[in-house]
Amino acid sequence: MMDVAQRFRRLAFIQVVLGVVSFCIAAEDPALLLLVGAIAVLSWYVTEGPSAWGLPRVWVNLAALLAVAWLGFGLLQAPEEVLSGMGRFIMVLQVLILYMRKTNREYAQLLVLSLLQMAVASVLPGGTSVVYGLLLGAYGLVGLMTVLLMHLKVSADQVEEARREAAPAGVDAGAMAVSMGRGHRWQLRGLAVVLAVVCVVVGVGVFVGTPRTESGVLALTPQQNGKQTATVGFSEEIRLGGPPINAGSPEAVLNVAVTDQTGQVVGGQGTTWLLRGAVLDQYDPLVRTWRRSTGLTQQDRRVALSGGAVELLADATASEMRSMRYRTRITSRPASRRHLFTLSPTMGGVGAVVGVRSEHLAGVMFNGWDQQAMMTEVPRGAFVYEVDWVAYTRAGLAERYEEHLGPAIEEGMPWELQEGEGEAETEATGGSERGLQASLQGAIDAVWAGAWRSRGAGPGSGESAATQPVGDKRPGSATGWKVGPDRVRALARSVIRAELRPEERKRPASIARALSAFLEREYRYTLDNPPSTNDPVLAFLFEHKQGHCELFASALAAMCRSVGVPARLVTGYRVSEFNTIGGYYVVRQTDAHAWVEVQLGEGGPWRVVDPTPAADLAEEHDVEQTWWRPVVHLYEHLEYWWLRSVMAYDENARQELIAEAQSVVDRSRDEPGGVLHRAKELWDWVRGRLRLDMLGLAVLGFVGAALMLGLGLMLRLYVLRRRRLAALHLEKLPRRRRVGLVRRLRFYLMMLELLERHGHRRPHWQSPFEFAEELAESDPMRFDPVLALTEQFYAVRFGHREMDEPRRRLVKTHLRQLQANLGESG
Amino acid sequence: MSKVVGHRGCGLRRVRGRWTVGPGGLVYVMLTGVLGAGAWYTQANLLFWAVGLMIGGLVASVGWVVLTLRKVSVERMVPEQAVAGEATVLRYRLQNRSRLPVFALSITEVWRKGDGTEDPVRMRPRRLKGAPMGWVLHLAPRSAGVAESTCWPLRRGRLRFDRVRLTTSFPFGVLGRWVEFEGTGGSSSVLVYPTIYPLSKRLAFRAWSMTGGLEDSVQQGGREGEVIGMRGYRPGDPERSIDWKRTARTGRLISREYGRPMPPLAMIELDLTPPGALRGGASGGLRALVDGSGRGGRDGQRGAEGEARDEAWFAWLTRAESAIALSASLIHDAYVRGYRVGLAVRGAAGRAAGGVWFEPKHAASHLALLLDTLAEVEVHSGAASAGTDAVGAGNGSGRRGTLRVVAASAGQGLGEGLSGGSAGGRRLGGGMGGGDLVGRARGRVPVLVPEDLERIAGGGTLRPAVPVGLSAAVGGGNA
Repeated sequence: MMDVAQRFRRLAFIQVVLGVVSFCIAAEDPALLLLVGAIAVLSWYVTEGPSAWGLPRVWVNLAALLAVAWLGFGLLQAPEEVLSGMGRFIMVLQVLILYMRKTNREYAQLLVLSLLQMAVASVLPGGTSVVYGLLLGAYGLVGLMTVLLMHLKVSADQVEEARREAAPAGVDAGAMAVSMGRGHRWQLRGLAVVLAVVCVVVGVGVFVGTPRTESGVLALTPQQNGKQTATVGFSEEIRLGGPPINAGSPEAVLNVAVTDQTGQVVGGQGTTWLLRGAVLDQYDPLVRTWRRSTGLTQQDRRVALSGGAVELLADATASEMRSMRYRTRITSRPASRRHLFTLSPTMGGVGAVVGVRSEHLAGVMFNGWDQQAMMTEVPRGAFVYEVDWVAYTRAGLAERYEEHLGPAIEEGMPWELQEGEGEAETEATGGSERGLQASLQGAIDAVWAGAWRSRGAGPGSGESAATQPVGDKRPGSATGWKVGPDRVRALARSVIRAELRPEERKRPASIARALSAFLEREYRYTLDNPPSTNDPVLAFLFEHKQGHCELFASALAAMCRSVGVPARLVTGYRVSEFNTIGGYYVVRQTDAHAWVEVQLGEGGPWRVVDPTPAADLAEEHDVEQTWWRPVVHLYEHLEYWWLRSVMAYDENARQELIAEAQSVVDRSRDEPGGVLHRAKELWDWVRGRLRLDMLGLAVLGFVGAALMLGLGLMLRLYVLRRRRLAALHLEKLPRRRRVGLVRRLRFYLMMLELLERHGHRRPHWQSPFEFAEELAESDPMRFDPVLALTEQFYAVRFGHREMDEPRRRLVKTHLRQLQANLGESG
Repeated sequence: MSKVVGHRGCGLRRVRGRWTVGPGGLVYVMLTGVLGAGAWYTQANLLFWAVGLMIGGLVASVGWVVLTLRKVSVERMVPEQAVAGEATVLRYRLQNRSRLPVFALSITEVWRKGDGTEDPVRMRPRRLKGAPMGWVLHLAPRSAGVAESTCWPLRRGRLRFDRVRLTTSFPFGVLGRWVEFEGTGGSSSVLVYPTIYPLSKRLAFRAWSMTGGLEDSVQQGGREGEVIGMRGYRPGDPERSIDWKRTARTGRLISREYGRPMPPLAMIELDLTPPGALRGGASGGLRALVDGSGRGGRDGQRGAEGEARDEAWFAWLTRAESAIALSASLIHDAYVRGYRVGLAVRGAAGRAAGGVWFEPKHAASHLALLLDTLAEVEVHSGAASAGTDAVGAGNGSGRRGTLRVVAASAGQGLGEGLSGGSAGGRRLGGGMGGGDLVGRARGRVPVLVPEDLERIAGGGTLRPAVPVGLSAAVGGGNA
């Protein structure tokens, strides 16, 4: 009993400490973890160590009152931090109780408080991590064992207390006699496993089957969660001139798998992509912000995902590009932003989105002019969507979308591109990692020159492009630059003159590349944004000559626009970290990036140009390939699985799961390949083949059942035989000998069984003779037959005597006698 | 393997079972509710998980409790005798015929109300302070085990057991179940001996000395033993007993006389004759209370006169019980000293109304017989029937070695003199205090009164002794 009590105390302590650690991890507070964890762990030494000191109850009560006051004060100061405040309060109470001398009541309080703390922690944002999930699982297992032991202890203590009360005053009741059978430890552990399985099975049922509401009543803000700081990452608008940008959180936000039409994974370690999010075409110098213009927003089309999919381009168009069709599967964490991300090569054309698939989305807002896709409703939790895209090499993409999606897209294009014209321009991307992208872009680049030629006048002079009227029919405002236009234009022209040959000055692609190269070469990448009273773009270009990607992109867009090349900013992620275990790219908040898209003439395709120094960017974004990177990938893969399977489970997922289960059953029954269907076919075939009527079927069923029963019996016999061999210690004998001995020594097994039924079990360390002698000593009259039977056992087992008829009769008589002595009717 | 010695088994059959929800279960359900409300309110998936696991625990708990107690049977093994104030171990032989183990099984003795109705209100006999409880940590599947519970009978008499209740709420304490078993035969009672106190060795020796029972006694006659003297030859004396040397010297046949030394003699005369003032008898309420049957209770309308009479009776019964305990202690002390001890009781009621008398002997079985008698002797609750007792008729009364214990005497007994130091020996036969009976006993038999129990037991708080020579008979002391 002491053992049970001691184990319970140890497990209860572990459970409470585990709860404290879990809460600190869920609250993402390492300082609290270190402080409270250390104090909690120290309590074991204080209360259970040699001194066995305990905090007096009065002190604990006073400290609890102080904790209440602290909680009240904290809530007054920051009422939005109610959850984390409650969690910390519960934690303080637990630590106080840990330092007390504890009775069962205190232990019960401790466990209840610990459970409540875990409930609070499960709602906190850090509670979504797989680490917390693992801790929760461990907590559950420890908790199960703790509760079992606690029940044993409390039950024993209650009886002990009753005994003490029943004893006369002043009389020591003595130690309680505890009865326990053999193997109690293993059986308790086995029972714990069974209970855990039952709990998990029911838990899964409740988890899967409980209907969910659309959203929790309690919408936790970061403040309520105790998280005051916002992480820097993807933004749907760019506000320049702010304070220095933090490096951001390494938290993974998306994972992206790219496959071709055959399902083959495309890309891998060393291949970098850009994930397009928001397209920003308008710069507001007053608030120094890039945002999407109203003209573009008005062109957004709402497209419903019927059956979980929608084609945004005509099938014919897509089929033309079939050999170049790719699919991007994106798993998004719980997000509040509405943007759907599409993939682009780091340099080259944007490509064309041809379809969107998702079981989680009801519809998307799509714009053919900038190919920005947004969700009509943001799903709760993590969700998955797929974007099909092609490396579109022809002009008139907007018209293609118009043809397919209907007339809502503004009719008439100012500049019609001629399909298939122009010469291919070699993309000087360089580098082995860009080989794939170069192949994707080969056809796209071919369009560029033709597009400009169709315009009739290239932007080589710069003047004509710069004076391009803004009020044309094209939505958006990707042209013109109003902040210090002359200075910017002068700078751009000087760069173009210096960098490009005259024939190249007519090509927007060349211009954009030259300006980008200039920025890459002459400007320094840094996250420290130096303060300035001037416009941030001008300050970057002419004063500081250093900044982050948004400033690089803004400067390039400004220079391109100043010389008449339409340009717009795109925000999204730079994707380079490939998870080899999951076969997808991991996208983190720190991968947030901004770049520029320039258009190859009116109506022409858009081309990605990234002016941020590639080396600095790689240094900032690319992950170091260390030996623990696979471990990190494994962890992240687990985390994504956890997020997608558990944390993001909602009503949609529930309905899908139910529907999927139903469909599996239906398919199995109805489809030719289904198991049930096959079984039915087999049954029909058997019936047809055997031509059986009902009687025949009944006979067949009976035979089958008998066969199964026979198999079961054989299995049972086998198990029994193994047991008998083990009981007689005959496992190591040759097969022939042991078979004979088992048969002959069966009477001894019967005797053991008989004795065992009455609570007399032979320990494995005791020889048959010792066992018989001990029994006979305890009650000679009763157990005398045991001695006689044991003698017969020795005679047969070691004396090689046969079980002849007289011996058999003798054994039978002794067994009957023993039965009678033990009070069993023969 | 367990040995159960000195216990008699009593088969029990299952009679009823009930489900219970304890405070632990309520807390569990409340916590589940809180988590459920939290899950619904926040729609946090982990809380849904937690609720699911808690409900799983609930289901498992109910299922386990349902399955485990179905095939458990119990047999009660009680000792034949016990001693009041001493721990008495009851043993239970539990048989689990199920394939599942049983954990945390409580075993409790329960009593129905005396009228035998199905009233759920249970009682325990007045002879016990609390119901005996045992506990089994684990009972392996398809096996048997022996559990123990301890009870401390407060009073002598026959202690009857009614039902055994097995209770478990394992694993989570959410739902409990108990089943009750009652006897189907065999003995389910234990005879509780009076409390046996350890007596002061010095004072007890003096008391025994005063009776004259310690004088050497020799059982004369016989052909063996030690030579105790010579005498003239008598016809029939064996030839081997003739002392030929003396015969030759004296010229007549001289025989050796043989004798065997006998243990000292101790005869306890217990006089339970109530005083004359109490001849009206106690009220029914008090009688029931003292009787321990549990029936009735104090009579609420007995009036002031009845109350005074009850008080007097209560005082008398207390004295009588003390006298019985003193007698038992003396008997036990004499036995331990190796004396032959006998007992005479007079003034008792019930079966011993005519008086009982046991010849002094020295044997464990004889000791048990004497204590059996003291355990079951009934104290008069009505008029004394003096003159009809065997003791009163002079059967053995006043012989050497006799020590009289008188319950009704209110004055000083022998113990006062003994504990008073040197005066005791000189005042033997006189000066043993007042009181009629003491006065009557003066000069003949030393008399002890109930108050002497504390004196002769060494003073201070009375503590029961662990009886010597009875451990096997009463099933052991502290377990």
